[in-house]
Amino acid sequence: MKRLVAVALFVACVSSFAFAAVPLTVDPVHSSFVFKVTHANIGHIWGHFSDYGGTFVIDDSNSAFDITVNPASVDTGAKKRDEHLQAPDYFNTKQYPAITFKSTAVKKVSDSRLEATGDLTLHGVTRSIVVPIEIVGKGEFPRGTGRVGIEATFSVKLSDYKIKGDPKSVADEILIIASLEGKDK
Amino acid sequence: MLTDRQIWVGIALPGLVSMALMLIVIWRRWALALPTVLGIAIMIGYWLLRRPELPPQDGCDWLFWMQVPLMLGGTLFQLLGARWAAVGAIAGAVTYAVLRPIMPAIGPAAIWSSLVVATLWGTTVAITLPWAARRIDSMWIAAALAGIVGASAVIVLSSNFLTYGIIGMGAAMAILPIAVALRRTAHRSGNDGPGIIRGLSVSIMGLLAGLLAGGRYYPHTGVSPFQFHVLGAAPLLIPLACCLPGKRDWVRCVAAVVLPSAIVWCIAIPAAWAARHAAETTDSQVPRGL
Repeated sequence: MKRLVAVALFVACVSSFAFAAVPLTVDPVHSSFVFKVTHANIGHIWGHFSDYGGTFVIDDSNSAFDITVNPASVDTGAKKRDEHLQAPDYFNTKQYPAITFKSTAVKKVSDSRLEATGDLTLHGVTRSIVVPIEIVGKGEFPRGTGRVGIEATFSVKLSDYKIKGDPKSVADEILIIASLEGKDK
Repeated sequence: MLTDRQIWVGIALPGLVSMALMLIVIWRRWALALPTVLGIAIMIGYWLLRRPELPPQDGCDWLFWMQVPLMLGGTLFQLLGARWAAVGAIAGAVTYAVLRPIMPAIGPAAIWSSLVVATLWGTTVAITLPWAARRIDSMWIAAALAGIVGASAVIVLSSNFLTYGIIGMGAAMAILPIAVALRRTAHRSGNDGPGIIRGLSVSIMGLLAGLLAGGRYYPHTGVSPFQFHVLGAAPLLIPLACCLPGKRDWVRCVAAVVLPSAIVWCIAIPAAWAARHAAETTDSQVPRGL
């Protein structure tokens, strides 16, 4: 019986390791890409992007992230404001149709925490940033489809990316929360 | 909703700069400097509002830097004479420069068609406005052009392109002091009204074409084709108004200002009203229908 349990544990460990190292495709149905910005130093406005995708690998030594967001999918609950955010005053989506993050190095901080250094390209400007990533959980859903959930919370300054909207009405610093679920099939 | 900084720096300041420069122009009798006055006033407001990049990155940067060839083109055309009306084609070059950064998104056909249309506007206006300046006082022509640029700016602003909208309004404010001082400048400098209007028409049509092309193609719901064509061709209504028969010049002067202004503001005011309403409406308040 003990031998059977040991074998089962070994198989479970190996399969878990193998599953985690597989490139996972972002499942937009079970993910969220939200941001928070301060309006005129008065209040916070939350918005989200509805079109994004990419892949990531969670592995002890070779974790990697390659995420793309379509800035034209910005949604703050007010169509006119969303259209303004797409204009050259902010994202200039006609000229810069993608926001991308590609990791260059990922450091394991703990079993559930990573620190990804990578290139964030926004508004045609690429800058290296460090993004703390929390591994929310791993599992199968539905049975046979391996999934890993991650969440990254970080801030970017619009001025760093030459976005020259009006700082009096939209704060320079934006908080971004990317809560992504990746699946192996 | 415009902030105080946008109103004062982007809109009022170009008007004040233009007014100050016009005092020097009148004092020194530099009628040839009018396109430069306009360009400098626009560039100062623009610079303080939104530091442009060099090399230019997007349509905003390009419209700023294209003020330099517009100043040169305007001065050159004023200096060379009516035979060089082809200088008006610079409006097409401005359109091309403004739209080129988004060529992959809108396609070359959109750029080339806009370029051709803007070139036609520019050259036709360069030919016809100096003629109109022989029929009526050039002050009224400049005032009408200010009204057209202002209305275009309001429409561009309403189509979610804030920077261009503010720049356009600032430009309209900068044209007004020039218009007011124009009669005095022309007489004191010994320069003729048609010559001054030649120079100004090149600068203003280049700016107008750039504003409308950028406003049409950069935002997702930009200036409509109807608005684009009507506003771009509106300066041609000025010489049309000058064709009115009769001995009284003031009738033609009033018509030259009122005819284009009435048409462009009839388009701009409803657009601004709708945009203001939309800006204060959330998606959940928009009727979805059945």
